[in-house]
Amino acid sequence: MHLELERVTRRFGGTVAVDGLSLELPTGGVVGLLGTNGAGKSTTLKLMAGLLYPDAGEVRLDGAPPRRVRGAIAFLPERGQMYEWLDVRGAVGLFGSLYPDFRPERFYELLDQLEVPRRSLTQLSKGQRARFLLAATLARKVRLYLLDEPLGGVDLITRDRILAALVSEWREDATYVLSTHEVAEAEGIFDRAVFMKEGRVVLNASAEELRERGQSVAQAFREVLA
Amino acid sequence: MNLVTLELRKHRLLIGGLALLLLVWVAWLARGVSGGDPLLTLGLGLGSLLAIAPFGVLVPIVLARALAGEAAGPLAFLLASPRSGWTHVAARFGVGFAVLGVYYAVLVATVHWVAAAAGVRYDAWLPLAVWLYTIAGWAAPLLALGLVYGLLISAYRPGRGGQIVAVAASAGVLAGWSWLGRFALERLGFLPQLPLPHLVLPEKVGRLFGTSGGTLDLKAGLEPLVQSVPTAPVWVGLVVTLALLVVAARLWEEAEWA
Repeated sequence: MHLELERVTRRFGGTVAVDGLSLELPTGGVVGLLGTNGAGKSTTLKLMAGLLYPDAGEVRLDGAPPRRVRGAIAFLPERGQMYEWLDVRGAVGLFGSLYPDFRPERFYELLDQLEVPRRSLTQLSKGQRARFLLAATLARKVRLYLLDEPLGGVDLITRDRILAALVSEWREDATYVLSTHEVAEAEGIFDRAVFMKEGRVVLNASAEELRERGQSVAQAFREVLA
Repeated sequence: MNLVTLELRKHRLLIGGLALLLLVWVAWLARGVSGGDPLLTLGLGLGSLLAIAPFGVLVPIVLARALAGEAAGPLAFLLASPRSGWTHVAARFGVGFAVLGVYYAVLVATVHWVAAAAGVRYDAWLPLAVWLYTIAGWAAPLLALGLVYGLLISAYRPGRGGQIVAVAASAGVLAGWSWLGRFALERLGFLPQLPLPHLVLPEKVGRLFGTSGGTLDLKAGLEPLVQSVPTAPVWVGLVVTLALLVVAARLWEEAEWA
């Protein structure tokens, strides 16, 4: 899915979260949306998902506004919450009802892969709940996955499991955009890194381009965002 | 779990609470009704009805409040769904409407039973008409209004493309009511009417209302004034409900998850 943001600005009161941001991402690949806290990553992902509207500029997915093609987008919010009483069976019914592309079998596989017990959300830990929702998001078959901090606040082993789940879900016709602070751990899976600072893109480079510069994503992160 | 069962699950406490309230009320009346004094029976039935009927207002309040609670997380998944705003709004409204429909049906049926126990007889359609007036003229518009305000408060941020809808939703509601009310009054004669009921009161109750033979013929007494009961409130209520549901579905399409 061809993703295009053209001079997009989004304010919250007096705070400018995204400031004239322009970005174009071709179809396919894993894109890391990187930046320090308050760089505007979450707002940018919500703008891409159509959950926020820009105050100025335009967001287009294959030439259409995100809300028009929301069936092609899967969005995982940071610290996402769901109905506490929801259990696995209920989630299959609910997500299946909300999203026609939801694949229950894949959801069960991902739950096992991410080691999430098949209980209700009230009985799961904070990390397990986050993985439960990640599994539900990845169980959809869409062309654009927007994952906000899927690696935030988890231990190393869980992080590896999440990355393995992402890799196992990878499809050539789908684009994966994930924001993260865990640059070093996620580095291996990025095809492209977009560095954000104060609501703007300060560097947009493919993994190949970074290699040609003799930099890892982590090194570029330190250099660009310091 | 589809959207309707989701709504039922979300509001199970409210539904259970209202059911329990009705159960206690009916059980309490059953004891009072067995006393046999028609005046006391009617007094108990109508008096307690006035106390219990306003609890229905909890449904639109809880419905609107649920949207605010969902803004903490679930709303992101709901708004991102490719299902149309109509589907979401219809599921919420449908469940609220069904709950209120059943609630008031039980109230009307219970009062009908109390009245019958007191010896009051009237045309069978009268309780149905009272239920219809309550549901269409009051409950449905209030539910739809609750959804509109719930969305406005929880998820809609005026200031961008769709602000006209927000202004129309908040200011237009009052103007719409007033316009429809005026229209209904002016065009009352063109709207379908309900025939007046024939009411028979027991002697003791009849004396209270000043009828010597125990029979109060509402139709004979009121026919010179009005031909029949106007249905305007029902039609106005339905039109307002539909208009509000259109606004709510539109708001859903434009709502944000910040």
